[in-house]
Amino acid sequence: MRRFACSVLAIAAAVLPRLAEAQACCAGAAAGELGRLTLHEEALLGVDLRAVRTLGAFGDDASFRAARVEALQFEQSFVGTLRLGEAVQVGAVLPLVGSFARTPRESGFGGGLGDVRLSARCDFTFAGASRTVPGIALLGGVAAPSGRPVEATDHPLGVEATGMGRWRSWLGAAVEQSHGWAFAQIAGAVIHDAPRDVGDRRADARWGATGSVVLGASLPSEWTLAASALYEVEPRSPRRNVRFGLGVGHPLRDWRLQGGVFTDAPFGGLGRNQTVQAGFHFALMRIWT
Amino acid sequence: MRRIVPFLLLLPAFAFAEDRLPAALLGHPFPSTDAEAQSLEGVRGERPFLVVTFFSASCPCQRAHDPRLLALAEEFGDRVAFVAVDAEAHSTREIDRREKAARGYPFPILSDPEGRLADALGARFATHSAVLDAEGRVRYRGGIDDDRGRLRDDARLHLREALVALLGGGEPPEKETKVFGCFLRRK
Repeated sequence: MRRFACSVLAIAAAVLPRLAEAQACCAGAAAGELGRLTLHEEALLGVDLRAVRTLGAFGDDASFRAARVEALQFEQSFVGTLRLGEAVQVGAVLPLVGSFARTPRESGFGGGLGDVRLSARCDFTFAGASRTVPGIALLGGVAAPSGRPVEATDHPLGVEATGMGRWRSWLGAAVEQSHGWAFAQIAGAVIHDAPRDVGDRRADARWGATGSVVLGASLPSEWTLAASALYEVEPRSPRRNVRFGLGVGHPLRDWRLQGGVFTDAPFGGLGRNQTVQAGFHFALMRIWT
Repeated sequence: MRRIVPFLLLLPAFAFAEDRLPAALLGHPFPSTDAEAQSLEGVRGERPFLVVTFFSASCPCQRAHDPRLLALAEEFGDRVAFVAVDAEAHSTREIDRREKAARGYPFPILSDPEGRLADALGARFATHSAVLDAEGRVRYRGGIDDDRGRLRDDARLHLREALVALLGGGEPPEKETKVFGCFLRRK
């Protein structure tokens, strides 16, 4: 655990900005959202590398218990986004998932194609365009059950699982505003998981919701920073989770570097019936304007 | 609501732009950093062309482009008039005077918080530049260059290319180009 924390801190330190003389422009939103096109960008293609470690889990009584199994997940995703007209963005994420788990008695590694995600965003108004009207966007998407669900795996630690095994769709909205170097966003979405068959049992459809806050800044070195907090809740399970993130982005001519660290809050009472994870990611994207 | 409609309809940036600025706007006096009020005609004076660049005090992209704008004013200032227009809703002459002094602009900044010039010239982003001739015809509109933020040595200098062509008696190689700048913050 200490080694993992040191790695995360080392990477965070390496990517934190060294202030230079140039100026950033119009990129406040990018660091907080993987694959999002910023103002004037028409398309992007990229790769996102992600490593996640399971720290523990919240039980039904909302108390946190540290993990007894060492569980790591690596994800390499191909990301693409295209702007249609001025206001619409459509994107796709194709994840390749690898999992490693180890207990004192056994260990295993497995992986494969994860759940492919398609998403869309429609900006009715834009952040920064008006003093009184914020940017308002409709968000939606769907995740296909292209990954392998846990019940379809043979390994006792479930390391071959790469997906949820059911369709997921979501619909939400974002309200955001920017001024000069500062950017703020509040977003919310309703999530629907379709029913699925698990062996001879039927798992019902389920509903959930997310709410998030992102605060971003374009630094004088062209770096962009974003701090985020995401609350997820699934009332009927009942399941809930709070995730905090810190992201950075930097343009490189026709490319954009993006990275970040994130962690679920491992404090009793914040989560329920939910694994607690922490990790980091790094993405390199080709941008077309 | 009228200001939101262009976004809702997904219209391109120049959809509402005039090909010729109405005489009433050319001669309209706007609060200026260099005088009580100045019109575009007055700023142009006897020079054949006027460069109008839309200005945002808070836009990092504007600040990044200041050296290039200053270089153009230095190179062409004896033959072409330059003016910046602050069309943001919160613009005041006091803010513009402070910004002009800090940035070293040798040309005036006109304050147009109602955005009349921005609407007429189809300007939605800071650094949007238009070249007007003596009759108020828009001979070029678009970006100062194709840089988004950090200035590159090999950038395409659209506004400079347009001025060279126009002063040589020709037409700009591209009459409209993409503008890379922050939204002009309207009401």
